Amino acid sequence: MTGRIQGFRAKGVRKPFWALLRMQFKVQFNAAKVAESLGLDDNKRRQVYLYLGLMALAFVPFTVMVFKYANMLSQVLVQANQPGLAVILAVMAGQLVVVFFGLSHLMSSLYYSSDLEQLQSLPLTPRQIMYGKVGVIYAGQLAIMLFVAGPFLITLGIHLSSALYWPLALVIFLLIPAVPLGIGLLLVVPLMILTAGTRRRDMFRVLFGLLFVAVIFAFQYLNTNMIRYGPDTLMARLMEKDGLVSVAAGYYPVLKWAAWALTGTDFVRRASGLALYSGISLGLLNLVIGLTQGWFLGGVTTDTGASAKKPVSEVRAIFARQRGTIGALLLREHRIIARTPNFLLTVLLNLLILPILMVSMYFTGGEELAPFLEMILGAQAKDVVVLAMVGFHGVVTGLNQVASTAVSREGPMFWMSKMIPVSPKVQMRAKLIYSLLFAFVQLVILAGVGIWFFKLGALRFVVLMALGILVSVPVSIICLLNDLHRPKLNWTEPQQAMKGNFQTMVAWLLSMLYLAAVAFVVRGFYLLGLSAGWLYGISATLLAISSYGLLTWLDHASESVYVKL
Amino acid sequence: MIKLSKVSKSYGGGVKAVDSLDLHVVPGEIFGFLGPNGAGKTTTIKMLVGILQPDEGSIEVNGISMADNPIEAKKQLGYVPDEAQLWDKLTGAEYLDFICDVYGVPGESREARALPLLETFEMLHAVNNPIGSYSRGMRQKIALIGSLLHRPPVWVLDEPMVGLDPRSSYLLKELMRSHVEQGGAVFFSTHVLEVAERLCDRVGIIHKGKLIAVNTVSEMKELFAKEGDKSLEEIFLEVTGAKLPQEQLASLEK
Repeated sequence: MTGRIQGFRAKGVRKPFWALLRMQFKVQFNAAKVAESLGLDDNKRRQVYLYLGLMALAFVPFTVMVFKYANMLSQVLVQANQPGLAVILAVMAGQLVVVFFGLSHLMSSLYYSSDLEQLQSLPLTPRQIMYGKVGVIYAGQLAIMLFVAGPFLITLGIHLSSALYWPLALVIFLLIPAVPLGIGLLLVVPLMILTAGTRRRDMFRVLFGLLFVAVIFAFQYLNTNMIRYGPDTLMARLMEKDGLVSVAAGYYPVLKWAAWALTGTDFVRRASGLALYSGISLGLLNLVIGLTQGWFLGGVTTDTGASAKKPVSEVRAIFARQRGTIGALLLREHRIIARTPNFLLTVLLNLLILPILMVSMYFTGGEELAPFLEMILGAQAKDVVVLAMVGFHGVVTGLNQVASTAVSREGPMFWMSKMIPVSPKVQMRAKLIYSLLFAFVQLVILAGVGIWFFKLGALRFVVLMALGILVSVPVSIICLLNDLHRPKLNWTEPQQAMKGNFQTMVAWLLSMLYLAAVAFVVRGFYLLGLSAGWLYGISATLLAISSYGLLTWLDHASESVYVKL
Repeated sequence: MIKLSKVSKSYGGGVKAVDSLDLHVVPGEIFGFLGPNGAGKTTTIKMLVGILQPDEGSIEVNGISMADNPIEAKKQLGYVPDEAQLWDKLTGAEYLDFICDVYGVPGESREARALPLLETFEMLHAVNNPIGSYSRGMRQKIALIGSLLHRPPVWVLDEPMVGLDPRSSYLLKELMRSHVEQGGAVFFSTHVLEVAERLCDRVGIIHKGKLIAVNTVSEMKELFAKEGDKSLEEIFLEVTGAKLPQEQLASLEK
């Protein structure tokens, strides 16, 4: 009778915690999950290995480049008697990446998790659940660290040629994710408690996302401003062995302790560095897990709170409004985004992050860019800037994920789009209009920042807006076409439709190819010495013709593809 | 076997989902938990199985306090949620193996316990497929099988008939009866009043968080028999105030 069921343990029992960890690893890292992340259907799972192989190949040049850079830097720092700085760079880069990716994984595994209730009903302690969840995220972050901190630590070890270095470096490496994940947990779990059972859950999610961006910028600001000393002090520190270590780790001593552990001048310093770094890292993470697991007992998962009743007059007013077909479809598009926190947060970040980055660049030395461009490009510099910004807007439109997930966002509700008495062509055009409206808002922000940055003047602002609108059309259509042909409709969590949708990357790359082709032609005319007016005219013509062609393609594709979805 | 004493739970905004609920389910009893949508059934069940903590009151399962010893109390339970949220990326077998691990079912007896259940619910052919490929009914069946592998004395099911085909629904009812005949207890919520009427030893009706009636079906019928013989459905509609006047029904069609 035995052996008829694959995957059943034949003897003994696993400890509940190890069973949980094993199961969570399977759920997160098995082929089906990877296939889902890549936007492949379950029946195309065999392609996963091909995809992964190709991606690994694509990573080879990047990895070689990082190793070369790390090797060069480590060599220079060892020669300059500042090897600790390489450790600081490795740990800092690693922890910054964990702040970014790790927090997002914590949100997925805890906040957006769909299995917490099930786990809570099993005979598992909240502490086991928390350690299981964090353990899987931790392992994922360590895999990323191999490409971020790994090259710096490995090349430094080679240049230091000390046998003791390697086991210590392994400890430093293994503990890199601990502090940022501990801080991340302190943000995510209170948010879960704050929003459990409240009617404002969605708003809290969005606010938290924006707060997260603010934290990233604060972290980045601290990183770029941590050197508070003048050139004389810096030169004096440069003369001492690892004199720059305390300068670079002024705000955040964990970095300094890691450097002491690996490159300290004597045993005491090395031992104290290792003890402090390991103690604080492990202590903080364990303390936070211990603290937050207790909060689970309060019930952090429930969504069963009763919803507020709308007054009858308000309900009557909703029904009294009558819209045309396009208006109704646009409103539906908008509501799907605005009422799904994950979608709203993604588009808000896409909308704001580039202008914020540009402004922060401006205040950190970017104000010299405009005069520099005028110096090398001469009188046409501002026109080149206008065209470059149009191209940049095209890139940003391709990246904003509004068009590239327009069909996918409907997800399991797509059946409704197939049965409403509105042609697929009209439905896709409504999605295009919505994408263009969003791209327009993005353009206004981008152009405003650009005008301030480069002092372009009113006429060029008008040209920038006109060409910006024009470039949004073909880019949005390319993204829509890609999503129409490969939509991700079988999602169970909204973030699988947007953030976890690999096809958004494919759509962006396709739109980049299109933009590169247009830029290539316009640049050719620029090199021929045509005036700015001609260059604007040619750009507009190319964009308009390709828009028309692509729109015709979209109309045909809508009618033929929709029915097959 | 199940004892809820003065159990209350509120959500944000002061909405009291469950209000001072007292309930006692004895061994050998199938208890049907009835109530309109949003009455507090699922909240009660979530507190009973340890997902939610009550604001007030205490819960005991098989004599073990859920607040003081949650792990031991949960080991006394087999629970099937209303929408079986299982791990799509695991196969059915991997899911059952995980459940066996956390409930401490020895490897030597897992297959012997699982096979008859898998065969009964016609799931053996699908047990090595990912759960993501299962229909709603198949998910429900694998969750049901998972809830029985550790042979719990108390079986808690939230809307268990939803998604099941008639054969599986019949088998489930037989299993529930067999479970209580062996000295266990079954606590389940349902909207199918005919099932409750035929299957349950006792039923409780919850409305707006308060338990408004608890009795055997026959005693409840006697109690409401003043205006002639009534079905459980009619009693339910009467006590929850859900019966619409004739003129209001007519206006819905206009």
